[in-house]
Amino acid sequence: MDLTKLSSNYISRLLNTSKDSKDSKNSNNNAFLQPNIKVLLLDKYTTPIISMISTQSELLQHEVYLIDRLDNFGRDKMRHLSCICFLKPDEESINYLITELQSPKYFQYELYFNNILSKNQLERLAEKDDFEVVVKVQEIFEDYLVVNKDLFAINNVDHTPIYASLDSWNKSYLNTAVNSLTALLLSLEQKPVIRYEKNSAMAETLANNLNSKIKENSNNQLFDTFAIKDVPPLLLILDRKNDPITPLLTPWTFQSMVHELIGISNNTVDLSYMPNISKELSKIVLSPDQDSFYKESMYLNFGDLSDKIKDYVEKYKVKTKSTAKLDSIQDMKQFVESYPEFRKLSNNVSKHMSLASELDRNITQQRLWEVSELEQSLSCSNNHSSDLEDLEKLLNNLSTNDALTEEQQKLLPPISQEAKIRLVVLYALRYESNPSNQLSKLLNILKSQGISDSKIKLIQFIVRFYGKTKRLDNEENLFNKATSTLIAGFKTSHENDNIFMQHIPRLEAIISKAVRGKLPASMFPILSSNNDYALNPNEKSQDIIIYMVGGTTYEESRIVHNLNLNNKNCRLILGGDKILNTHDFFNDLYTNFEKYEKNKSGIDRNDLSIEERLQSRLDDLT
Amino acid sequence: MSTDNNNRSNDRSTHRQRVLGKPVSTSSPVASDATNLNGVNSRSALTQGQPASSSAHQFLKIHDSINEQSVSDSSTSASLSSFDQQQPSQSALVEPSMNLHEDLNLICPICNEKMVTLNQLNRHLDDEHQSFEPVNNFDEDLKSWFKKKVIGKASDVISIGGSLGNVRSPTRNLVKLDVFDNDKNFTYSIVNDGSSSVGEQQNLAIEIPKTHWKKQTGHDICHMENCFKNLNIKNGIVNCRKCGNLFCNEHAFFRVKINKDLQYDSINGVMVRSCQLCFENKPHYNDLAYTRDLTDLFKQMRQKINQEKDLQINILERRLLKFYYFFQKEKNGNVLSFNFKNFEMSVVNWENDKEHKFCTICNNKFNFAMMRKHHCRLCGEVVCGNLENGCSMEVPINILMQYLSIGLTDAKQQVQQVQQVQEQDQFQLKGTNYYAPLPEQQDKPIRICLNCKKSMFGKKLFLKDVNGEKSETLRIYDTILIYKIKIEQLLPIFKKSIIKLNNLDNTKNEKTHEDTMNKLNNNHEIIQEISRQRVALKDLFTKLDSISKKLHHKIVEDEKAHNISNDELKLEKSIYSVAVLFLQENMIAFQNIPTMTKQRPDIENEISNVKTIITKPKLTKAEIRASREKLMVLKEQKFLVEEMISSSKKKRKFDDLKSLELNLNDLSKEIDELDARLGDEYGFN
Repeated sequence: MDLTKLSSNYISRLLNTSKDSKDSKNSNNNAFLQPNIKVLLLDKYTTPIISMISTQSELLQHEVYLIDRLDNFGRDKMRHLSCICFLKPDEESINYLITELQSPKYFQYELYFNNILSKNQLERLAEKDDFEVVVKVQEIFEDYLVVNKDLFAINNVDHTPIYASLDSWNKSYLNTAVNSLTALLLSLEQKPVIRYEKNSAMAETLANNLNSKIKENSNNQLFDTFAIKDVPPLLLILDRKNDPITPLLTPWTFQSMVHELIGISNNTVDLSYMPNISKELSKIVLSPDQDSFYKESMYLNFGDLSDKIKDYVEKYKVKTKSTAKLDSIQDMKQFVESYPEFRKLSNNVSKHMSLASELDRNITQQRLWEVSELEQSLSCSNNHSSDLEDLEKLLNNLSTNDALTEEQQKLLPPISQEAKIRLVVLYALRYESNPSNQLSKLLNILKSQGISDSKIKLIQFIVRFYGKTKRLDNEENLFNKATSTLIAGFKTSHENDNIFMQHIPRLEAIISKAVRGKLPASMFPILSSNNDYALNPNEKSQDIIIYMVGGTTYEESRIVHNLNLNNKNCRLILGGDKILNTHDFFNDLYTNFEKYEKNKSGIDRNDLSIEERLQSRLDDLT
Repeated sequence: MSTDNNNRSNDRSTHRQRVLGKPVSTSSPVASDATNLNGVNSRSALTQGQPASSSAHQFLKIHDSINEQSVSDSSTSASLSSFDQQQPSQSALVEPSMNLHEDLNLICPICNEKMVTLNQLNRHLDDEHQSFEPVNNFDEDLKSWFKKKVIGKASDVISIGGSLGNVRSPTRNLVKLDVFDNDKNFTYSIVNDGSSSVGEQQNLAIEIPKTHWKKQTGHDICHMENCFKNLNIKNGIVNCRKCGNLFCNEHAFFRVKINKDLQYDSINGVMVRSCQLCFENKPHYNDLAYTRDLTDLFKQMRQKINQEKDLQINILERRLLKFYYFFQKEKNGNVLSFNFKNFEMSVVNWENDKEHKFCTICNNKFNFAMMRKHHCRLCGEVVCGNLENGCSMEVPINILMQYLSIGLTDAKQQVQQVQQVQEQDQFQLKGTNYYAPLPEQQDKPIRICLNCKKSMFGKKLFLKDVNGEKSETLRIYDTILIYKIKIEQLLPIFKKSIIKLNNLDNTKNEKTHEDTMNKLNNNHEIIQEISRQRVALKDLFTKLDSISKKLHHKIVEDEKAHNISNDELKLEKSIYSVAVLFLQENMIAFQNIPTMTKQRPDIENEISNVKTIITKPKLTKAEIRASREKLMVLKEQKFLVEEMISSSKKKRKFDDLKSLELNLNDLSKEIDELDARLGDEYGFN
């Protein structure tokens, strides 16, 4: 279950398969004289998918010389070229495709769809293919974004909001998610048993919808052709609300940090906001497939990363030195021979250098060392009084380090509002049931810092709806510390005792239970679309796909990656609605909070008299 | 399948004690006690059918304890789960208990055979009663007896599972054989029925043979690739139940379902412990990237629909031909033109224009100005004549006929077609050229609608484009492609021969003179071959380079002049960049080749000489080259022979020496001759 392998497999199908049709058609012609320049047509959904799993040069190598959007009507008629279409089978794209087929711009079309094409859609296409230009129709199920080899995300092109309100799906998004997950299961050839977290209405809805979708399609060579596995594969649908802690913490590994401090979207990082950035580096691609340095370092913590970059730069320097003196012809020759490699290396070096320095700048500026230390202490040790003390200091922009003099303290940059709110939320969740909880005092401090009322209400909202009573299990898993507890039959993901990475996401405890067949059915009910497998809650799963409702984090993906490395007897894939950083997570919380407030006032409205209600309607309108 | 964690660790710890040689206080005495009781009581239970309930309970216990013993043994694999390989360590383990009960009578509960030791009984049970049918009966007996006597009274102590052997013990610390196995070596083994699924319950009777297990030799190494762990108690010694090879704990930590023929069987198989290899190689484990091909279905659908459409097109074409013939006749004066309206109406039924208020194509409302009503003469639909919309148009018949003849390259076929139509329509037109344009004054127009135009001519125009002449860019691309393919064919051959040359040099174990000569001749041939290939390649590269330069010029010009479309320009750029990339990559590989031969400077010399000869036409006089090459080869031969002489002198092989010396003489003679012929200028001295 390696998603990168899977997508490269799909890409090669997309690019190579024209051979058989070409051979049969032009077998008499000389192959030399029948070049097959290809045009690749995409739609708005498949463009990001392709961009994440392939590169321009790979496409060029396979004679794809033009890449365009299907909905671009300004394309020229080039009837000597053949065309590959990679589209999502939604109404819009099908309609565009029909228009295209009615006046074909290229001499033949291979149609690839990234999800299930309905019979009706196929018929409509067949009806309009007057010129018989379509030579192939195939479904290749890649209706999701492949981020890492064990991490996927929903391809939410239109940025449709996920939540309709707290704890309920936005219907159109739910549809996207169900389709995406169906495609994922199809591409992995898994017909799973679905389990979800009992306290989450969203997880339950998703599980049920997906289950009925699988049932619906368990014919026509879709789910029915899959081999029965020894152990039924498991699709585990979790809800973010059961672990609000992980996305609140500052991460310290390369990929997570870049996402946290700069932001990764579709594997690209936008550095154009930096002053004096060269054009090449204003938008950089971070893809473990194409960048071996990144592949090696994406899960390293910041310290190790710095060392690694240092080595890398040293290596580069040695090379530049050796090439700096081009005295002898031999040197010149060597230089020329290694030139493309050399240029690649120098690009890569400058790329990672600028990334790392940007990370470093952010860390110092936002005083993340101090913030993170307190975060970790809040999230995995039980030390109320000292935590409170440190927290108050940081809220007042003071340092937790007592050795600093007042003068020095004043020179420190202030801590961002967001970080302060984050710390208070962590405190509130951690010491929710502590009798000496001082939340109101902290909120007052925040108020005095000029943080808006709505944000303060947000904190109370979070405590209310993400607090103890709303969560599924006890705090042990949530505030989990990296300890070297031995679990028979399962190797944990962590081995270092870095103080900034003590907290272990709840996900690991759940995976560990699932692998050992110890997920209680009372907390994780089972659905099966599948009569092939008995519903056995104690099955030790071998293939687990985890879907995190509300989004997952790169930190969790790192855990999954390590677990995959350490435990060869199970294969894990993690995915989510999106990949969160603390900022995204807060935005989601905030929108939910706003919706909740609105709803609440709506409910209140019902208690009012008719006149009053009319009045408030009018107010709304004006 | 899951077993309680605590149980497992308990077993491990007790086992560890045993391994250390300490007498086990917990399980062995119980076992022996139970055995004692068993020998007397359970037998009486069978024979008399009236046992005390406690004895039955004890009876269960004894088997549990037997099981437990085997659990601990096989889970750490210190020695064997199969008792037939008697391990020294194992007998040592059992020794203490054996001594204690030496004087007791042990009787097999099944066949009443006398046993001396508990170990022997274990082995006996294993060997004789593993698949012993009466066992089931016995079990049934026991069960029915339980049902009668015990359940009511002691259901809190003992419960009986629904199926064969599925008995849950109240003392759950007695576990089944192996944490991984569903292996029923003992028919009475306790199964945690909460974890076994329906399928497994049905398959309880399946037994996985152990005959394929590799025997331990005492110093085994893990069978996993790149794992060189010694197999011992610490690292574990585990037989993969599937392949039988020995593995360390880490690489035998997997589970697969197999059936009794040791084949993978996910449906009816039993879950057993396996190695990583067997786990990862199981069928469908690596299935990925599923696709569904709908091409055939699509083509079926399309065929159905397009057949109808073709029929429609045929009808339209026929109607058009009718018009054509009518005009022909009219030209010949056979028909009067005032009949034309009637003729038009006879070709196709005209729609009643009073029923139509909107154009059937653009859906605009008709009026008396721009949106007049018209009838398409081919399909009879009411459409507007608005020129902007282009819903219908009057087109001269000869142009229509020209369009119609597109793609009908085979003139004969066309004539035949026309004739057929003609016969059917009973028009007599002899000696007319059907597809030649009519004289201009006779070009009568007919009105046809957009739909008819599209369905009649769309495909023909499309095919015309497809089969038409390619643009200049594409022609350039074709040439580039040809060169590329040739280079791609030639380059590997070239590389191969270079490698061959190197290999030849590296094999220095020729014994006889003939081998040496052969080798040298070979060398010579290869060098010549390489030089030929090199020239060819170089030629191809130059051509490719020049054509890509030509393309580059074109791009620059096109960009300035804006005379081609955007897509075309993009295409040109892509083609150019790919061509340049190809050149860069392969030229570098090409240039690298000589350096591969660096270990042998003489050959490098030869090649570079060949190169200079090729590149400098002054020196390419065939004679000189040939003799020079010959000279080089001879010199090398001489050098080699000298070497061989000295080596055979060392080895005191005087027989070889003689012939070698003769050879040397010949060689030096020839070299001298050549040297003389070439003179100072072209020689090597």
